Amino acid sequence: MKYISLFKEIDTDCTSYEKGTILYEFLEKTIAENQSIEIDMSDVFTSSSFFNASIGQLILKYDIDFLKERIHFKNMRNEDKFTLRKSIGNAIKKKS
Amino acid sequence: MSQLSFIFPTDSNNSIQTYSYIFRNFKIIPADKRDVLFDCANISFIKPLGLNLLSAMIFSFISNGNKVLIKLPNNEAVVKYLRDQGFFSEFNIEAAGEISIGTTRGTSASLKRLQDVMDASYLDSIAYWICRNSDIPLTYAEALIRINLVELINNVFDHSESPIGCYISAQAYPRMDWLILSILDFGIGIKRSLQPHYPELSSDVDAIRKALEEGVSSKKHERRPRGVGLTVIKDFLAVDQRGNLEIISYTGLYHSGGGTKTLDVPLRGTCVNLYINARASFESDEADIWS
Repeated sequence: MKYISLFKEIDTDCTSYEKGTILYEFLEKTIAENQSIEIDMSDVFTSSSFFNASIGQLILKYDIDFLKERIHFKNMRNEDKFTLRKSIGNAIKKKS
Repeated sequence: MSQLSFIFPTDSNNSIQTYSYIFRNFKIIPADKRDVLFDCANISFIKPLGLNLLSAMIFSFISNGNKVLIKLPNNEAVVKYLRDQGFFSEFNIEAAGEISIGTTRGTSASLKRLQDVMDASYLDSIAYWICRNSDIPLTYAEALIRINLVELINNVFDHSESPIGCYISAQAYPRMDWLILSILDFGIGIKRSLQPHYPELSSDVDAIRKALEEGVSSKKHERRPRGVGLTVIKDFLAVDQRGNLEIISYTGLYHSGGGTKTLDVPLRGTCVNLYINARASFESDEADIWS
């Protein structure tokens, strides 16, 4: 399983759409290599824009059960979960 | 050329209509360079919206090259409040009386102007500040800031085209168990931001309602998921009566607890006020993120 620390690889500030795109490209590459990944969310703060650009984009492209198997989150705060769920719901709605 | 004066009201509260008479004379980018006086002498009480408006207007005039004068409040408690909030350091005000000011600098206190960079240390300082001024545990304060303020600031950076960035101010009211977070920009407003993709929007109130719908964004043309920022905030505050959301954009006024209204005089920007119940909780969330 691959590992990415958002703090180390992206920034403490993981709020912009552009930074979400960086994560999207990393995740897309990982999936293309047929690997799973653990995303470490320590010491970062996120926004819906960031999740829209990363996880939301992947949902448009891949089946959600497939992503669930491949992408795992570590050290995720409650507030990140709240925001990510909204973003996932929005992407599913857009996809359907 | 005569001096332009803005007299701030005795009760500079959080109701936008209090400031209508000020907005009548205020243009975001003044055409001339005349001196501008902000008369705050009679202020006996000032809330976050009032502080943001005062600061944003002062900053606009300074940025335009106008000489700005401030008549400080006669009420010492208000002067102390402004000092504690970082207002004086924001504008390099050191003495008392009517003062000429001409520069700006950042401050680590509650009042803050953000232009285009999210400031992590500032967000943390606001969370700690909320803790110090209320019974709210740090984890909940951080959640409040990370969900609400981050989304709002992101909206300003992404959509508002505000020449001043945004001003943020927060205040706790422990006796009433309320926190108020206020963020103000002098940007294009929600209606102009959305109208290229939603030409049917005919009023600022319609535009605010539209912006609160999930998936609505001024970047609609991209085939990407966008536009859940305001919905995140609205839904977060709706759970267990955590609080209320108020949005003012030009003549549109929306309050999550009280519907909408069209204002007589436009704000010439967008202001979001969050009224947060200081006794609300943010339970541990162990549910599957994908479900």
